[in-house]
Amino acid sequence: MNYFFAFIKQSFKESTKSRVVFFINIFGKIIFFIINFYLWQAIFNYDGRGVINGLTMEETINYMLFVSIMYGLLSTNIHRIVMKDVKNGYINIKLLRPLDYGLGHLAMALGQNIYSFFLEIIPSLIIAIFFFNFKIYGIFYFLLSFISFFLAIILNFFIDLNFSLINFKFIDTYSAVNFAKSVFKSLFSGEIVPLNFFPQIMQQIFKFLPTTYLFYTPIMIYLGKLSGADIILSFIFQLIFIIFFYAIYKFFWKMLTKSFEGVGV
Amino acid sequence: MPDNIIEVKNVSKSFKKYKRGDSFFDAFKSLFHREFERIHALKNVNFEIKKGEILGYLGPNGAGKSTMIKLMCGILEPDSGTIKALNYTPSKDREKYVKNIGAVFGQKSNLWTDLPAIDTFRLNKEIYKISEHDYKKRLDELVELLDVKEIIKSPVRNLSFGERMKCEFIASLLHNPKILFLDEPTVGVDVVAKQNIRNFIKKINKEFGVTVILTTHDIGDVESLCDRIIILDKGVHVYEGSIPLLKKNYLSYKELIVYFEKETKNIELPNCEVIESEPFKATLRVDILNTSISQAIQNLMEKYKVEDLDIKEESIESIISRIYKSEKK
Ligand SMILES: Nc1ncnc2c1ncn2[C@@H]1O[C@H](COP(=O)(O)OP(=O)(O)O)[C@@H](O)[C@H]1O
Ligand SMILES: [Mg+2]
Repeated sequence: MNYFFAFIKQSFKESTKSRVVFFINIFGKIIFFIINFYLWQAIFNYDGRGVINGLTMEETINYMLFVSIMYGLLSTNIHRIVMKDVKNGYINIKLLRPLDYGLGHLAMALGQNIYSFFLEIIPSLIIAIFFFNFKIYGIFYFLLSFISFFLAIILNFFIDLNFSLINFKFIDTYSAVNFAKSVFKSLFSGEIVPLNFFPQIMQQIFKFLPTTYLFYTPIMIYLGKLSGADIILSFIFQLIFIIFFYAIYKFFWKMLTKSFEGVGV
Repeated sequence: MPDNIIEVKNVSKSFKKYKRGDSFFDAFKSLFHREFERIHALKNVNFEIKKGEILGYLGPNGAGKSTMIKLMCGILEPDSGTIKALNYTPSKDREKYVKNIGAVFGQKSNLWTDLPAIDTFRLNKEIYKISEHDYKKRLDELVELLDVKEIIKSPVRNLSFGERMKCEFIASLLHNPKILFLDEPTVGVDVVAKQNIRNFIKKINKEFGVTVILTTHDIGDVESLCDRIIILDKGVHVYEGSIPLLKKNYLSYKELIVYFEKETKNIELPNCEVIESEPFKATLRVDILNTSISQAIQNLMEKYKVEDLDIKEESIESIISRIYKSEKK
C-alpha cells in the first residue's frame, strides 16, 4: 500500500504546475456564487412560500454554494487518461507495472485533490463565508460532511473509471456515452438542484442510486438534515457502492486486457 | 532445459484490422457491423533464449518484432502456442511475472515528464517494493555507469533524447530484473550517447547477469552487442544464429581491391565481376559460392601484374537486407 501514498505524493508534486488554472477556477466560482445568490432569491420571492421542498431559501442557497465550492473535487479526468493510454499505447507500459491500474490512478486523483483542496476549496470557502453568508450549521455536521465528500470522491472516481473503460472497445462512440453519463450524473447527484425538488415517488428510487451519494447526501449532512442513523447508513451505502464499482472495474479490466491488442509502441 | 530463460513454442498472433469506409453510409453501417481482416503478425514462431545472452531480434518494419516483445512481456496473449519465461506464462501470471522483468520501449516513456527522473525512480522503489538499502546501492551503481548524476535532478522534459533514454534504462533496472526487453532503444539517440548506452548494456549483461532481448534497426548495436541474432520477416523467422555463422552461411561474395603495377584494362577472370575499374586499380566481386577466394587470387596473379591487394567482406547490414528480401544464398 506504500505505493498508493507514493502516487499521491507524486501527483501532488506534479500538480504544482498550473496555478493560473486555479485563479481562473476561483474567479468562475465567484461568478457562479453571484448568479446562484440572485437566482434563488428570485425563485423564493416569486414563489412566496418560505420553504420549498423542505429547504428554506437560506438553506437552498447554501446548498448550491457548497456544490460549487466542492465541484472540482468531484470531477475526474480519468476518461481522458484512459483514452490517451489506449490510443497512444501507454497502456502497454502501465501493464508492465506490478500494480492495479485503477488504484494507481485513484491515488493520483487524490493527490491532485489534496492540491485543489488547498488552492481551490479553502480559498473559495473563505470567500463564500465572508462575502456570500455561507453558514456553517454545526462544526460536527460540517466535518461529517467532509467524510461523506471524501467517500463520494472515491465513489465518483470508480464510476467514471468504469465508463472510461469503454474506450478500450469503442474509442469513437465514447464521447456520446460519456455525455449521457455526465447528464445523468449531474441530474441525479443533486448537483444542479437538490434532489428533494424531484417528485415524491422518485425519492424512494434515489436511495438506491449511487449518484445520490455524490453531492446530495454530503450536503444534506452539512445542512443537518440527516439523523445520526441516516448518516451512518449513508456512509455504509457509499462503501457498498465503492466496493461494487471497484468489483465491476476489476471484472471488466480482466476481460479487456485479455482481449487487448496492444495498440501503439 | 534449465538454461533457457524463455521458451517460445509454436506461437502465432494475429490482429483484427477494421476496415474503415470513407462515406457517410460506411460510417453508419459500421455502427452495426464492422468488417475486418486478419493480420497475421507472427506465424508459428519457435525459439529459446538462454540465461545471460544478448539476443538481437531483427527485421524490417512490420515484421512482428514489437508484437513478439509484447507477448514475451505478458501484455498480449498468443492466439496459439505457448510462452514460458522464468517458469511463468507471461500473459497468465502477468502481475507476478512483471516484477522480474524490465522493459524500455524507445517510443514510449516510462518517466513522469513534468518531474525530475529521480521522482520516477522513487515511485518505482515503492511500486516494486525495493528496500531503501537496495534502492540506494542500485541507483548509485546505475547513475555511475551512465554518468547522469546531475541529469536525474532536472525535469525530464528538459532532457535531450539520449539523456532521457539513460533515465529510462535506470527506471527499468532499479528492481533488479532478470530479463530486460529493449524495443528500439537507440532510435534518435546521438552517436556519443549511443556508444555510452551500448557499453552500459554490455556491462549490465556481464556484471549483473541480465539477459537482454533487443530489437533494433541499428546494425552497429547488433555488431557490438549481440551474441546471437534472430531475423524475422513477415512474422516468420528467417535466420537464427551467431553473427560469424550468419557470415559463413549467407556471405555470397567478397570484394577484391586490386592495385596493378601497370595500366590494366578489360579484366576478365572466372567467377569475378568487375565493379569498378581505374587505370591502376580495380574492384572485383568474387562469387565465393562457385569459387574460393584463394583460387580467385591465384587466377588474378597468374594473369596480371599485381602490386597490392585488399579483401573486403559484405557488410552485415547488406547480408541482413538480402535476407529480408529472401534472396538467400
Ligand atoms: N494492435 C494492433 N492492431 C492491428 N494490427 C497490429 C497491431 N499491432 C501490430 N499490428 C500489425 O502487426 C504487424 C507487426 O507489427 P509489429 O510487431 O509492431 O512490427 P515491428 O515491431 O516489427 O515493426 C504489422 O503489420 C502491424 O500493422
Ligand atoms: Mg516495432
